This record gives sequence, structure tokens and C-alpha cells, in this order.
Amino acid sequence: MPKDTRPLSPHLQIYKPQITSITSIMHRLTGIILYIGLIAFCWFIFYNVYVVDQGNLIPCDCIILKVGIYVIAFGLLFSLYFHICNGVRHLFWDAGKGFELKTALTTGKIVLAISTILTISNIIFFFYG
Amino acid sequence: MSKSINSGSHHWIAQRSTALLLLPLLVWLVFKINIIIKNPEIIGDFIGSPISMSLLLLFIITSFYHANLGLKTVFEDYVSSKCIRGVLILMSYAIAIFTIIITIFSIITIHLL
Repeated sequence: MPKDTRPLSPHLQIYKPQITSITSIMHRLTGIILYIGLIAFCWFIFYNVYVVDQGNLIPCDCIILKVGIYVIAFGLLFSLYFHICNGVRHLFWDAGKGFELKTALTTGKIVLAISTILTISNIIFFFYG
Repeated sequence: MSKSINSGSHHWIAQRSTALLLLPLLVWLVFKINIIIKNPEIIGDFIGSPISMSLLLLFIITSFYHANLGLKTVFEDYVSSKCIRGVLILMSYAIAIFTIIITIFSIITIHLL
């Protein structure tokens, strides 16, 4: 089929971002990030089993790399918690509950709040627990 | 239609049931990993316990299944060419199966050593 060159009507530039659309695209985005994180987790297991382990989790001295790895790890943590909470919201939708607009907006805010609270408390536990 | 028609309901049911199975598994795993990172000496008990290793394997297999179902949906949504979409979906299955098998070998090896 020849490539279609007709213009699209603008959507992302016009629609005001709302809780429903933001949580929906974030669910998909965190799912993709978690897929990559899952593969990284498996290769991390493989690396620690078959390659001699020096005894520390992050085997490098450069401070930029260490901070970068912490940022990636906490980003993965937030993705995990957000995907779990929003997944529970999806499961409630599959059961048929929570489709009214006000309920959906409220549960969206609850999901964002709970996932940030869980991430921050996990980070605090990691550093000070 | 270029997308597969006959496995839609199976896909839907499998995605929800793997998600339900993953919920308690993840609660357990996140808990365990946090404790192990805090006290790294516990890792000997964790690796020696067959129940922990089996739950870890169950988590890996179930989450790869769930992730592949989701990724298949993403590719079906965003890739319009039939050939490239089929190849991408097949590649994601291959990567998942390959990584699962490598992880099974690693976990069984370190459990037996």
C-alpha cells in the first residue's frame, strides 16, 4: 500500500491531559519499562551466579555511575508500584465496578498517591531502615 | 483482518489470571528483596530454601507470560506493517523464553551448589 500522506487532525496538541488519560498511558509505559527491568533482573541473577561476585551490588567506583544506577533503580521501583496499583484499578474495572466518571478520577488520584507513598517509604527504608 | 482473531478471549483471560497470580508473588518478592539488600548475609538461607527458589522461578515465568501478552498488545497497536509486527512479536517471545531458560539454569545451579 503506498504511504499515506494525508494530514492527521491534531489530538495531542489539543486535548487537555486528564487523570484518566495520563494514568492509562503511564500504565503502558511502566509496563514496557518493567519488561526491560525484568530482563535486567534475570541477567543480574545470571551474572551473580556464573561470574565471580566481588561482594557488592554495584561494582563500580565512579560516583556518577552509582547515582545513575540509583536513579534507574528508584525509577523501576516507582514503575513497579504504579503498575501494580493501576493494575488493581484495571481489575476492578474488569469486574464491572468503578466506571462512573467521578469514581474513575478519584481512583486515579488514589493510585498516583499510593504509588508515590510506597516508593518514597521504600527509598527511606532502603537508606535508613 | 491482519491481526489474529481466534485467540482474543484466551489472551484476555490469561492476562487477568497471571496478574492475579502475580499480586501476592510480588508482595512477597519485594519484601524479600528489601530485606536481603539490607542484610546481605541472609542470602545463603534464601538460596538454600527450595520454597523460596521455587517461588522466585514461578514469579519469573508468570511475569514473563504477563509481560509478553502486554507487549503483544503494544505491538499490535503501534506497528501497522504485518511483517514487522509478526517478527517483533516473535522476537519478544524468543527473548522471553531464552531468558527464562537461562534463569532456570542459574537458579537451579546456585541452589544445588
